[in-house]
Amino acid sequence: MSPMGLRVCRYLPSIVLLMVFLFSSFHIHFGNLTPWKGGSFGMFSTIDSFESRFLKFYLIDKEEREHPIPSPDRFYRLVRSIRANPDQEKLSDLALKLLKVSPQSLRDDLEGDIGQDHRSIRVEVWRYVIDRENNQLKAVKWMEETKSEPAR
Amino acid sequence: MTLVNRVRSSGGMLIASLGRMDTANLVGLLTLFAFVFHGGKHWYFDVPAQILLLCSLVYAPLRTKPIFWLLIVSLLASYWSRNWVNADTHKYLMTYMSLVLFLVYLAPEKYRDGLLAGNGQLIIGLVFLIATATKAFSSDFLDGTFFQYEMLFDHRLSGFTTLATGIDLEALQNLRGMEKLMKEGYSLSNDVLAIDLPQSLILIFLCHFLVWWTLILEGLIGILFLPWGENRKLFALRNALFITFVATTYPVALVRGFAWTIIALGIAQVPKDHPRLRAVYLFLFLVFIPLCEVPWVSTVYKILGW
Repeated sequence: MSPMGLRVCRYLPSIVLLMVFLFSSFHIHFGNLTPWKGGSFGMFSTIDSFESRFLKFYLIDKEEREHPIPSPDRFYRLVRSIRANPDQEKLSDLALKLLKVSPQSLRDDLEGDIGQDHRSIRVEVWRYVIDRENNQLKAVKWMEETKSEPAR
Repeated sequence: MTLVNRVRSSGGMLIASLGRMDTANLVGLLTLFAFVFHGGKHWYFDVPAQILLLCSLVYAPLRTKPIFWLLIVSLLASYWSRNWVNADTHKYLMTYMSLVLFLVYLAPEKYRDGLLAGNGQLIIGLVFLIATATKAFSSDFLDGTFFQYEMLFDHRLSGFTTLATGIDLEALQNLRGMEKLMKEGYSLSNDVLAIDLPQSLILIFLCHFLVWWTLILEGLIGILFLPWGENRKLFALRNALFITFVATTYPVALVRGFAWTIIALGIAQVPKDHPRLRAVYLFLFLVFIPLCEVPWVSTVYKILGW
């Protein structure tokens, strides 16, 4: 094996590691990626982890009443992706997907006519902060997206 | 011979026989276990991973073929690149480790130990330096907020928190229940937006201590594992610090996939003529890390009826 080949064998894994680190760091600092994910070795460095980010979903009927709906299992993968690295595009995509689902399958105790004529879905991303002054763990809304179905 | 002596003797024999193995082969075997148990969570990863492990156990020379490790690198990389934002850090680390093994087996035999040791050392150095820098630039890490949150809400730390601060396990469980409501309560019309945290001077003191302990220990490991050249004292010091890190971190906050992979990297940088040090690393991998899974504090509390 040539000296060059040996040098590649010696340094290639570390170069890949640094490149992945730079790529992830870019998404952490210029996007919303949690430092816990994405190969940047930022786990255990901040409260802003995947676990401390969560979503809330609301169905809004034609009378503007809000009906909270639990996290939809069928979009599990997209929900996880939003928690790790949220952006408006993904929120919008999720809201549009939820609009295509019947309201009763999102929350089984909803009455039959809710959302049949006109409805909106609002998806909110929340995260934790620690309020040092009041010694509290607080949930604060970070971003939201609402999508409506045109009135029929 | 009592049962305890028999177990001790067979455990010692297992560690001794693994200690005699060729370094690359040993590191490969340990990496494979980390890869199969913690590489992925879906059938399209698990099935090929298990087949590869079984094949390599039945036909051991397979573990010395570059193509075998290239297959593992491809499997890992295709798995996490599919959803890279959600992949845990240890999956990336396993990929780098497998890439090292691919390159090591690609090289002629006389260079293998040196390449493995050099890569293991440099990767550990970079990982710890990056981790230290990330923490040093994180404001909620530096002011102790991160540790305060972890100690009160991370179930893996609850035993340690109870022992160190006296906040009882039930209070911690209640906090986690409130946290669950904070995330899910809105859909049950029981929205929680703030949770009062227990006041504890010991907790605050401990959080600040942990901030500096972590920064200094991880920072020193990062610096000492960089390639400074051959030096016996440096070698001994960096390994002592690395073992201290494993022995003090994982009983409190265990991430088994990461722990196993980083220990395999640790073994990679230990030459074969340091059998005792290699045995310590093997003990950490095979015995210590699995034992860290046991919720010791809550188990003792239950046994004592507290």
